[in-house]
Amino acid sequence: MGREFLKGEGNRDIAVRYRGTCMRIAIADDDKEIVEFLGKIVEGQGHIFVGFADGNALSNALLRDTFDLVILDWNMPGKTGLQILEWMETAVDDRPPVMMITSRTAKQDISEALNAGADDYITKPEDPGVIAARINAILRRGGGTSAMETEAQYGEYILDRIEQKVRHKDTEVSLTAKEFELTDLMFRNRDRTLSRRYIMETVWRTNAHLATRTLDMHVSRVRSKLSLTPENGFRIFTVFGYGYRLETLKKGA
Amino acid sequence: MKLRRRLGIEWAGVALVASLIVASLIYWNSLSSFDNLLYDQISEYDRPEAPDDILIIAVDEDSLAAFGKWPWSRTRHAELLTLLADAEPKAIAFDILLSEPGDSEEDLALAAAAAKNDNLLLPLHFVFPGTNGADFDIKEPIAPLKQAASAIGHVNLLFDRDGVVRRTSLCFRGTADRTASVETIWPHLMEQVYRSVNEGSSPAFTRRDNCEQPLLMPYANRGAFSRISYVAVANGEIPAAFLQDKIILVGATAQGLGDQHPVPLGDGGTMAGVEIMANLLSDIMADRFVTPVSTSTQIMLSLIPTWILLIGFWRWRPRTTIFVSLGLVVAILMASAILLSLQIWFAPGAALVGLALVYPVWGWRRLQATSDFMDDELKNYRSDTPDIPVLEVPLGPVDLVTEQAEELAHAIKHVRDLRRFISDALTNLPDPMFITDLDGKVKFVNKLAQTGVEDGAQDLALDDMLKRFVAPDDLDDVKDYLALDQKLREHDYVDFTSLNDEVFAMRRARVLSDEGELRGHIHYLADITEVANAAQEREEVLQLLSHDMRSPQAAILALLDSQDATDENKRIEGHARRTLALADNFVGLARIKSSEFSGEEILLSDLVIEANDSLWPLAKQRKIKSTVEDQTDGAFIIGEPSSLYRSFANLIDNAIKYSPDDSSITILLRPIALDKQPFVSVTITDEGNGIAEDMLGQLFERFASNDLDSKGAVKGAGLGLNFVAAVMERHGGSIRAENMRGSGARFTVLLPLAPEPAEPV
Repeated sequence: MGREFLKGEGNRDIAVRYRGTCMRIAIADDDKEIVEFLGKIVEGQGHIFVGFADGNALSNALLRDTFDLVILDWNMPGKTGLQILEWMETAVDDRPPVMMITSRTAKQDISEALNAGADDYITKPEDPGVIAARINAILRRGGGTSAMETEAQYGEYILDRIEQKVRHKDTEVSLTAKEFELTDLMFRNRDRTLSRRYIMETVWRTNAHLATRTLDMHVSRVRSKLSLTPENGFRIFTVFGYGYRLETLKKGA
Repeated sequence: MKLRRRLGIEWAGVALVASLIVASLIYWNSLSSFDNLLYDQISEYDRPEAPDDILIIAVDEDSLAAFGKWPWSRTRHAELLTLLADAEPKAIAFDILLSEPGDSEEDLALAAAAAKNDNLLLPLHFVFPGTNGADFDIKEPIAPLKQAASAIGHVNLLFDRDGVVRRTSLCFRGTADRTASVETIWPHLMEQVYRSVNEGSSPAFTRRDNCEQPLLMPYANRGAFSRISYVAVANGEIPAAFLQDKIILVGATAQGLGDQHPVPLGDGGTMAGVEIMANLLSDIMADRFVTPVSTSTQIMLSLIPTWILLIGFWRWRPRTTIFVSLGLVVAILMASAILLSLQIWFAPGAALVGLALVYPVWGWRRLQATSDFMDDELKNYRSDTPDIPVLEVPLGPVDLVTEQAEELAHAIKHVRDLRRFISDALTNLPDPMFITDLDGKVKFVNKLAQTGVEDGAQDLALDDMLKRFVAPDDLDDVKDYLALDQKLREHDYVDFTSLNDEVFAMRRARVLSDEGELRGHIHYLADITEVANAAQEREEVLQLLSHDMRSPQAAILALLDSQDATDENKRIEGHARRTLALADNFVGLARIKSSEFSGEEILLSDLVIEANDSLWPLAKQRKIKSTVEDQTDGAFIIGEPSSLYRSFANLIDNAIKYSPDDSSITILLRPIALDKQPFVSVTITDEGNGIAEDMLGQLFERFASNDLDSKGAVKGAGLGLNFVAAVMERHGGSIRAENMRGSGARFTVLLPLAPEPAEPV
């Protein structure tokens, strides 16, 4: 099911169009410095942004205006980020993706926001490069490279989808079928937070309750077999209570 | 329970002994005298009529007076027989023994007279013991008479142990002398009479396999049979027509002649042998002998009333039992009488003895067992009466059972006082409390829990009780808590908001009986409104602190990002990051102290790797190589990911700080066993200068900081290691620090592994 799903959704044309197109992004944060900081990152990616300082202003704008992405702070005057998120679910047709960027670091807050429908969650402070990658990942939506391609390269990693093998720095890494599918899924969705449930359904094709350790162990094996470390430009990040994210790092940064 | 078993054993004993006694009384026929008396009494009520065609010609006092003393000349008998022959009776049984030869002329005359009668029956009798070692001698009529008689029958009577003639055999069996091998059967004289009148043996005779079996013979009333005096017949005073077609029994009735025997007429008197014969003959003709039931049937029937009573003892009150026993006595006698009228004799003696035996013996054993039991229980009660203010009343000396009863009453009063005391104590408890039984019905409510249930909480279902004071939002939580088994509960209490916006913690405890059986539950409610509000406020403060302290730091870092990376800016950034870490550690520490542990399954190796990855930029700046080596095969622990992640990040951050540039940090995960419990150990080893010796002991205390030793460039937040230690303790683990022999410090963390899951990975 996972592959079929990606076949339909993952569309290279869209990705290309996104990459080349200027996006309108709403940034809501009561801290002027943060709005400017984020705005600079967004502009660096070739997009334009509109800043909001409180929740009410943002929700009014969302009714009148169209945005390709909303970057939300949690604690804001007027409406809080979470309230806006919940409101958007019902009030805004075809709501744009939402990224929460807040100072709240508690595990419960993160999973609450993600489960309420946020597409990603970043805790302040975060490296501008990481934020940019994560914004791109959301805009990419469904994977930048089509699943139909037989071979794909991500950094120094080359995925052979026919042989189900990964080459890294000219050495071939042997993976089991499930490990390869997991790798493929994470690379295609790099910089996006994937829920455990989504991974389970896509890779194991089941929504039945699988032993939670199964996924943990597979992620762990992929991590160590492929040496997904910052030195190699990647790190796997566990979002406890929610899922996983494969982050790309600027190599040597 | 103890009493139950004891009484069961006693009962079985009584039942067994009573049954054995009844059975053996019957088997050895020990109660025959008593039974015979009863038989005499019972048979009194149903005496048969004497038939008209039996006539006794009696050698009575008048005859003796007329003809002189006995024995008479045989010619007198010859004359009578001649006279009778003319009257043509049906049969004549001559119950006068003529076995010794007398004057031969007289004998011949008698024989000649006898021969005139075509249906004359003569007696023979047996003398026990016989001469020359024989069992018996047979005394037959003299030879000429024997030839004249149409048949001969024996006239021996059977005497019961009390000498009374109740029974008879219809024949006698025996070998005539020792040489004869074939048994001879001598029918009774009356049987012979029957046979001579009717064709063939009597029904009573033919019915029995053994004609010798003694049969109880019912007696007609004394004098019921027609009787005429010998002298009257001999003198021709009786018309021949009167004698015609009669069965005539000739025999002695005069007291002096000795042929008188005790009979069961209930008056203790005797009866002439010839009248006994008449009774026997009428019984044979009417076929109304009474057969005793067989021994086994007798035993079984006799045990029935005893067992009815035995079984009844379990159910009935003593008064019922006494009435039932009396009823059973009557029933036994009635049954005996009814059976007798059906010609069956059931001896009631043994059954009556059984009843008489079992009633007092069981009463005795029961009282004994109960008394012993009460004694024990009272002793137990006295030995563990709780020490509460209840008045003791001294008891005076009385007899044993009274004393026990008084003590029991005293104990009950004591319990009542105790109950009163407990109920007073519970009712006035400072917190609400209620008790439910196993069906979930509220059985007791104290004053405070009564609020809101003015219409009385007694017998209210638990759910209804809860609805009266638990806010609807929290109702399910409370129910979930109550539904769970005690062992499976995460907490031993549940807190909820009441309808009045108070916060309560509810705890459920089991009510056990003395034997440890579950009887119900006690629900304690503690008003924790203030505590809960305080906790809520603290959480809000922590949230605020965390967010509001982080936000400006994040803004500072955001601002710096757009600036050039000057040395000054780098230092500002360092301070901002330190403030962030301080806020995180402070809030983390405060949360640990105020919140419950709620862990989830975590793959520790990956958590450590990710913590290490997060510090990679810092390590890279200093050209420090920090690597994680995982020697476990999936070390899962139960933990709180945020605090653990932060802890390892703190430790690795620390190691980087105190490492010289261009060095390496080794993080090693290994499984180990402590006290046979599986643990995972994480060691973080650096190549720095190590920890100052005087700091080692207090490294994990609050506000301790190792920055004295450094060159000023690195400063650790004192809260860092204190936080780590608190987190490890919270996870059931530990942390220690040591200096390596060469150089560098090593931190070792031990954490318990999660139990293996049921499903394979």
